[in-house]
Amino acid sequence: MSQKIQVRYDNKIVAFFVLASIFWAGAAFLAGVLAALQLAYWPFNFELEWLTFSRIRPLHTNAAIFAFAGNAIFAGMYHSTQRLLKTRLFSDALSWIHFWGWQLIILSAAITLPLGFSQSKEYAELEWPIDIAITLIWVVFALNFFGTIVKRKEKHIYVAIWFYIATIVTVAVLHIVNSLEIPVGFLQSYPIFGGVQDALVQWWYGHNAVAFFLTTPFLGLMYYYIPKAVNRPVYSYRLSIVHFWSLVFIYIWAGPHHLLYTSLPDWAQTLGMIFSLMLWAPSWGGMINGLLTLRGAWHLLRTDPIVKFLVTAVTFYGMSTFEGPLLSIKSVSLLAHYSDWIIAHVHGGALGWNGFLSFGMFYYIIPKIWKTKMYSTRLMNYHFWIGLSGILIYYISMWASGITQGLMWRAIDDSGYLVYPDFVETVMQIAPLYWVRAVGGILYLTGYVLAVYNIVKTIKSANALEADETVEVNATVDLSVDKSEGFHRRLEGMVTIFSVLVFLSIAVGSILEIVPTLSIHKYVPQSDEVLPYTALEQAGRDVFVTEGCYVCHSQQIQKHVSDVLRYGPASTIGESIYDHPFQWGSKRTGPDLARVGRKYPDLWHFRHMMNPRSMVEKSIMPSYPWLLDKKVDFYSLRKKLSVLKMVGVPYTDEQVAQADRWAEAQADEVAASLAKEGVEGEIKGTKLVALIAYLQALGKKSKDDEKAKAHLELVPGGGGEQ
Amino acid sequence: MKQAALSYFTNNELSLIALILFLIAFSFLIFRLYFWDPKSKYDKLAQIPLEDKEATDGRR
Repeated sequence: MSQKIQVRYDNKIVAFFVLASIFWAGAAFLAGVLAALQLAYWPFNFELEWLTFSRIRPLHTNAAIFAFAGNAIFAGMYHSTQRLLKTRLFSDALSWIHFWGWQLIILSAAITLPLGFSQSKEYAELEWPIDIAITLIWVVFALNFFGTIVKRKEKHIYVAIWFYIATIVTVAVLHIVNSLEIPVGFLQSYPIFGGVQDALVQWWYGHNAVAFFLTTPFLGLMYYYIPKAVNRPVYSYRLSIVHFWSLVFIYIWAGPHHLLYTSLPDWAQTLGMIFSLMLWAPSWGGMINGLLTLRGAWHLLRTDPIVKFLVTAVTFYGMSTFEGPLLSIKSVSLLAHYSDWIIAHVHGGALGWNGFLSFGMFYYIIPKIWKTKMYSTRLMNYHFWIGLSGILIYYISMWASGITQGLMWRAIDDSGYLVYPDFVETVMQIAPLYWVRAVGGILYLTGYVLAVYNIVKTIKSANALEADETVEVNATVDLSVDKSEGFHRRLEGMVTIFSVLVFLSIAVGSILEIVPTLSIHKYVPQSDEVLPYTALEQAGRDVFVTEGCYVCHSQQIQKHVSDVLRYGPASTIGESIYDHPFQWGSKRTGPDLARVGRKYPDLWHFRHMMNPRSMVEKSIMPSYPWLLDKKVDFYSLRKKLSVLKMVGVPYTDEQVAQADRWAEAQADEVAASLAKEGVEGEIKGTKLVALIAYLQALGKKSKDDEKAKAHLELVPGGGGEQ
Repeated sequence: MKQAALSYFTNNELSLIALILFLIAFSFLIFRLYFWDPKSKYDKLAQIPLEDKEATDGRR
C-alpha cells in the first residue's frame, strides 16, 4: 500500500474569486440594464458624458466578460484544478498577485472607460498600460497553473485541465497580437494594424475571446462540476478527446464570420464561414457529453437547483453553438449582420451559458468551502426561474427586433427603390422591443439580487470559511510515460508536449488567415488609393474612437444591393487602409457613416451633435454637448502623426512637423463656416469642430477629390510631396 | 514568388488537398480512440473527479 501524505487545498483564494465575481456581476448587470434603458428612452443618458451609452456599452461588455466571467473562471479553475491534480496551488504568493492584480485591472477599466479612454477594439478597448498589466497578470496566472500541474499527485490530467491549458495558451496569443500598439500618450495608442488588417486581427481576437475566454474554460468547468453535481462520470471520455481537439483546431478560424460581405477578401470570408459551420459538430459533441452525463440522474433536474442551472447552461450552449454557425452562413448574415439578432445571440450565450454555469458553480462551491448548506433552496429556484424568464424575454425581443431590422433594411420595391429609405423608420418600428429587452435584463438582475441575498445569508450562517482543506493523497506518483497505455493517455501525462500541440492547433488557423492579409495593401488598385486624414480630421477621428461612436454607427458599406442603394458604393479595402484603428463597426443602431462626408453641411452636424432630435425628430441618439466645451490638444498631433507615419500612413515630414498649425488652419475654416450660419462663440479649438472635419472627410478622401487636395494646401510651407 | 502566391490565395485545388488531409487525420484519430484502445482505460479516467468522494449533499 502506497504511503499517504496530507495536502492542503487553498479554499481562501477560491472564496475571494467567487465573491469578486459576484460583486462585479452586479456592476456588469447594472451597466447592462442602464444601456438597455438608454436605447429604449434616450434621456437615460442624463446628458452626462460618463454615463452615455457609447461609453457605458464597453464598460458593460468588459465587466461582463472580464470581471464577472473572468473571476468566475479563476474561482472554478483554482477550485477544480487542486482537486483534479490532488495538490495545493503552486504558489500562494502568485495566487494573491493574480487576484489583486486582476481586480486592479478591472478597477482601471471601470475608471478609464467611462472617462473615454478607449481603443475602440471590441472586448479589447482598454488602453496600453492596462494591456501590459493584463499580460503580466496572465503570466502570473500561467506560472501558478502550470506550476501546479508540475507538482501534481495525479498522473493523468483530466479533460477539464486540457480546456484550461487551451484557455491560458490561446488567450495569451490573442491578447499579445491584438494589443500590438504604439502609445501616443499616457492613455492613448494606435494599433500597428490598419484597415482590413486591423479588422481581421480584431475579429480573430474578438471571436476567439468568446471561444477561449467564454467557452473553453467554461467547458472545462462543465466537465468537472456536472459530474460532481450528479455524482456520475462524464458520459464519454473518448468523446471528450474528439471534442477538445476538434474545437481547439476549428474555433480559431471562425473570426472572419464577423466580416461577411465587407471588403475583406472573399477567400478569408469563405474560410471563416466554412470553419464556423464545421464548429457546430464539436460544440454539440461537448453539449451531448455534458447533458448525457445525467443518464440515470435526470430526476435531479427536477429536485436540485444546482443541476437546473448547470443543465440549462449547457442547453443554452447548444442553442448558441447552433445559432452561431447558422448566422455564419453568408445568406443568413446578409439579414442578421449589424442587427439586434446578433445581440440576441450574444446574450443567449452570455446570460444562459456563462451566467447560469457560473451561478450553478457558485451554488456548488460555496456550501462546500464554508462547510454549510445553502440558506434557501427556494431562493435558488426563484433565481433560476426569474433569471430564465429574463433570458427568454431578452432573447425573443432582440431576435424579433433583429429580423425586423434586417427585413426593413433590405426591403426593395418593384421599381428598385428602398421601401424604407430613412433609417429612422426602422428605429421607430423596433423601439418598443427595446423596452421589452430592458424588462428581460431587469428580471435577470432581480434573479441575481436574490442570489446575493441567499449567498450572504449562507456565509453569515456558516462557522467560518475552511481556508485550508486537508486531504490525504498518495505521497509519490509515477509521472513517467507508460508505453502500454493508449496514446492520448500518454499525451495527458506529458504536459509540455500537450501544451505545444495546443499551441500548434491554434497557430495553424491564425497564421493561414492573418499572414496573407498582412500583404493585402500591396494589391490595392491605384483607383482605390486615398489620401490620409488631415491633422484636424485625425483629431476628430480620435474623438470618434474615444467617444465610442462605432458602437452604434458602422463605416463599412456591404457588397449587396440594399446597402449600396442606401449608402452608396460598397466600401473598398483602399478606403480604410490608413485607419488605425479600423472603424468598420459591428452594429447599426444608427446609420452607416462610410460615405456621410459632405452629405450634410457643417451646421447640420453641429446641431445634430448638440441635440440629434433637432435634425432627426425620432432619433434615439444621445446628445454630446460636452464636445463644445472640450479642446483639442493641437500640439499632440505632431506626435500622433509621427506614430501614424511609423505604421505606414504616408504623411510627409512637413505635415508631421506642422501638424498643429495644419489642424488650426483647417479648424479656422470649419469655425468660419459655422459662424457664417449663425453659430456664436469661440469654437475653433473644440473637439466638436474636429469631429465635424472628420465626418465631412468620410468617403471623400479620393486622390482626385478637389476639396481633399485643397486641405493639403493648408499645411504651412506646402506640406511636401504626398 | 511569395507575392504571387499571396496575391492569388484562392487556389481551389490546394483547399481540396488540405481538406482531404484533414479528413484523413481526423478519421485516424477516431479509429485510434474508438477501435484501438479498450474503453475500460478511458472509463477509469472519467472517474478522476469522483475519486475524492466529496459529500454531495445527499446526491445520488
